[in-house]
Amino acid sequence: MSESPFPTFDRTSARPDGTRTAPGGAAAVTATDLTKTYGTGATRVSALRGVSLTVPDGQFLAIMGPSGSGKSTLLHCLAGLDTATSGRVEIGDTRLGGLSDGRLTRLRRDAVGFVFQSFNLLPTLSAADNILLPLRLAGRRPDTAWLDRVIDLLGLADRLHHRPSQLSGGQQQRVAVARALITRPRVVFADEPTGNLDSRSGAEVLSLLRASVRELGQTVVMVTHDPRAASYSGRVVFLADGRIVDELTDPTPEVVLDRVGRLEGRAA
Amino acid sequence: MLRVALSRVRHRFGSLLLVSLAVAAAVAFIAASFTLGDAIRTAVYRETAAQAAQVAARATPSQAPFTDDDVRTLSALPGVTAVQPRIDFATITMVRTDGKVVRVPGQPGFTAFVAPVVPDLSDHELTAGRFPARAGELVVPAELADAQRWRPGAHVRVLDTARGSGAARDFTITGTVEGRIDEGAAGLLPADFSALLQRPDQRGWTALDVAGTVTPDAVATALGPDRASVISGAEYADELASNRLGSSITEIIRGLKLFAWVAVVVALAVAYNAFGIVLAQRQREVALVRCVGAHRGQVFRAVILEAAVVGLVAAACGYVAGQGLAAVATVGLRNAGVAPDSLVVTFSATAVVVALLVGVSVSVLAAVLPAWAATRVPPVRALTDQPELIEDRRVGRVRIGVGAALLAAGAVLAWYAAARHDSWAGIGGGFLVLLALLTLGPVVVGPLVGVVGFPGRLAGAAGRLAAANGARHPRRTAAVTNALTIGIGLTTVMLVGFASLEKTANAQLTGGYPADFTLTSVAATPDGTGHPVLPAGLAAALGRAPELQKPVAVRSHDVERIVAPRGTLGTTVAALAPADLRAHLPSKFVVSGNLRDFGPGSVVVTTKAATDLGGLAAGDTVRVENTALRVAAVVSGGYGSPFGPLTFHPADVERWYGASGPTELLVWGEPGVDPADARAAIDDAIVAMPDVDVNDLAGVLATLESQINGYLAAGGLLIGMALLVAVLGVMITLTLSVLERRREIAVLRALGLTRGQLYTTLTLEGAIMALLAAILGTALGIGLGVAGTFAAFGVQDDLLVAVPVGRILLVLAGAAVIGVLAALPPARRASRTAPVAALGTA
Repeated sequence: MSESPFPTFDRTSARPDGTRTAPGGAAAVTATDLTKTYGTGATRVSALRGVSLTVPDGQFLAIMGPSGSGKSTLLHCLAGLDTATSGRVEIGDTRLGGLSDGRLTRLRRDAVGFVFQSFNLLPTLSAADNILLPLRLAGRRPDTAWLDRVIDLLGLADRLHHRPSQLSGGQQQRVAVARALITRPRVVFADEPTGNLDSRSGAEVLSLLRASVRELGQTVVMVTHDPRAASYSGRVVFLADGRIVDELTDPTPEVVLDRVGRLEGRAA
Repeated sequence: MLRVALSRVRHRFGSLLLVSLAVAAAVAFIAASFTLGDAIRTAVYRETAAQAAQVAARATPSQAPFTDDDVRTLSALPGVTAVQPRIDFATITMVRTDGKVVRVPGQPGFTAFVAPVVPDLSDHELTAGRFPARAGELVVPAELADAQRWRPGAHVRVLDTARGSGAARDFTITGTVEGRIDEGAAGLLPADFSALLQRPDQRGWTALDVAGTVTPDAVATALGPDRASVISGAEYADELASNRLGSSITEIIRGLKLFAWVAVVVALAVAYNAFGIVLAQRQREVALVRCVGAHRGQVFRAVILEAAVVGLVAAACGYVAGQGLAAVATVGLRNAGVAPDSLVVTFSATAVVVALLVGVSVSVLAAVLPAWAATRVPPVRALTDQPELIEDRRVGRVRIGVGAALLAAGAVLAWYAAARHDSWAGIGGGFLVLLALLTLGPVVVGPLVGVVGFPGRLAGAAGRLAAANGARHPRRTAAVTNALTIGIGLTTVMLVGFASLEKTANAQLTGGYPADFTLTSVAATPDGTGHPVLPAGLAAALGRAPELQKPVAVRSHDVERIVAPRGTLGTTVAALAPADLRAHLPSKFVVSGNLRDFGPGSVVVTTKAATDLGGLAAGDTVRVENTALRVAAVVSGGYGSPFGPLTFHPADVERWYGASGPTELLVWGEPGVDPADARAAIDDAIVAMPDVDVNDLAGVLATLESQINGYLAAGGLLIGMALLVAVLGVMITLTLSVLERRREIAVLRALGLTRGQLYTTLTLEGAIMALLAAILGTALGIGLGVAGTFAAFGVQDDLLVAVPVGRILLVLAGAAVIGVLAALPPARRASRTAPVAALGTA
């Protein structure tokens, strides 16, 4: 753990609104005036038009918006999977823009966790091996106490030796969450994590994500189109046509639905 | 990543099956050739060691051959138990007790060897009876004894060719030995040998083997300074071994090794393509791992490790298969009589090491470029839901440049090889062209598929789809076709080479022996040179046989000076009657002039002789022995023509050199007569004439044909195996590509493409790709084949190149069939998948 340049959860402190801060003061994710355009001339598409966003430590953020709003693009840019056309992204103190591939890779290993909508796991590895993969890639030995805690939290103790093909969709996503948490990253990015799940498994995964935020102090940024999923978060930002147009704290499904309706009304 | 790599190998071995197969096949060939080579070397050394074991010293003369005095000197040395004289070459003629001369079809004459004075010093193994112990006894090879139905104790007469008197001495056959007839048809004791078979001026021994405890130095001293070089028994064993090894069997081993390396190249191509496809399929997995934090280097190392493990496993299987191959080949070689009977497959450590090394190297080498490409997969790919939409990158300029350069270099090298008859340059050129093919594949494939697939459009929507699909992914199509192209290219090279050899040999033979049979005399002439005359009455006897046409009498004579306007020549010429010449020299060979003008005072000149005389045409004058002669005609031919490089009228030759009987008789069978009957008639006529030698054109042609067939069979077998690997490669790659397009196919089916149409599309695709490969391979094969033939055999004059169009068309048709057959299993699988299933997310 000492190799990680980023602070561990022990050193965060509580904020009045229930989120936690890092002693350094820098937020988990900071985006300043991000733009992203594809193509040129007649086929030019502006996916993001000047998005600024700050995600403090310990926050569960949901990014919502209709399709074409640019929410997936925003997630890719925040996570370092894609480069913005202009603007800045910082994870903690580290600015993503000028990083070499090697340093980006190290960042992904140590400071960022991913949960995708589908195809999260390597099909030839067992659940345990999938969870430990990031540590093994870094050449680090797992902290057994932490590992046990994560496995416990996610209820995977009896599934550790199964391969993904032997797990249900919900179980696969839980393994993916465990893998994302194992390195105690600065932030976990989740792209529609419950998109392929039935409502029961989906609810399970979402409450586990929320538990990781509340009990482990994890920061989570989630993209979703489902108002119910967004209601698990602590803060929701609404994206439309590449801009943040609305924001909500402590959302409930009804309020979210209402705001979404207003968005689409505006578009129409 | 180690764990990831190993787990991938364990669970996903199927996708790497193609790589394993190719590597295993290549390793099998390599292991087999190394094992076989080792086994042969061991067997030969074991046998020759046994043979040379008894020899303490072997003396070979520096100047004049050894005499019987030398033998006596050495025998008197202390420690010498026996001295065995050896001779390189001596002819022997044997006559059966019923008066018939002993002959073997296809063998003009026999050679004799010196029988051992003591059994230990024999260089032939005894199979029955005993070695000769006193004068008047001899041994013969078992093969000859069987053919003549001799058993130990039978009698035979040996002609006294030393004095040429025609007398014969009685001999008893005491036993039979191992060995081929052409390596020695009879073994006589030294005394009989020199007395009967060596002319007085030719007497002497070419080597002396000394048995006992004497040292080579002692032998050298005893023989006198500078008279001989003497080696020890061990050195003799080595010499024997390398002589035995330097025979046709080494050629076979060399051919096998060469082919093994070709198999390695094919395996490399197939493995490279297979890795490319497998890694393309795994893009999402690679992207995921990169998201989770794997460095590019880690990804690369993992792929290489996977390749190494696959290579190792495949090499192990290949080694076992190779041992099997070697065992089969051993049995075959033993039965063909080409290898010693003691040949047996042994464990060769070299073979194991080489096999494993080659297997791992090929696999890893093939994986390097695809692994590097895999590291360039951007992590964002993991989030893309539809990887199939990612189109093949456009073929880069670098690739075109490199490919063109390789092609140019290869072509230049091949041309150089053909011009300078350098086989190695030819092989190098061939490899470069192959590499160019692999590089340029994707570039060439697109337009070519359009051309080849054009007729496919006639098959309706399915056909149009098929034609379009091949051009869409040039890299994938090139991958499928490369291995097949190489296989077919090799086959074509082989076909062209052998067709050329056949044509040349036929032309040479029929150019040299237009007659069915040519009879000459092998009697000793009084002056030791010149052309012995055939026995009187032979021509008449042959003319009387109903199976034969009247023989043409030819008289050959040496002429010292033939003076032409622009050159002089001294050579052997022929004389025969103009009527005979006109009857048997086809008019198509007449280059200029007219055969009707040939009579006394004129001469017919072949093109080669005409060139050597500074260029002659009909109407020119040449002078021989103060006579001016007019060139009646120039005909194509050379010094091998039975009508001579120059043909004179018998009257002129008689005037210059005196009257004489014919030196050759050219005999044709009557039309419709079986060659065997004609030959029997000739044998009857010469039954009492041991000096007459019969050259049997049909027999020689038959032997040549069976030889070429033998080579074709061997070459065909090996190439067939390479083709098999290529075909399997096509099949598996097609399967992989169909799997890759699962969703696309599902959409098509949902839109209304029937099962039958899907079948048609996929099989047409397979056929188009296979035909494409075949056309490329054939074009390459013809080009390289022609160049290669010149490179390997161009040193011969009159090399004719033949392109066997019929056989090549057959290969093309076969390729189309292969393509269709290879596409059937994946087509069946694809058509069975319900559209809905394939549309579901993974």
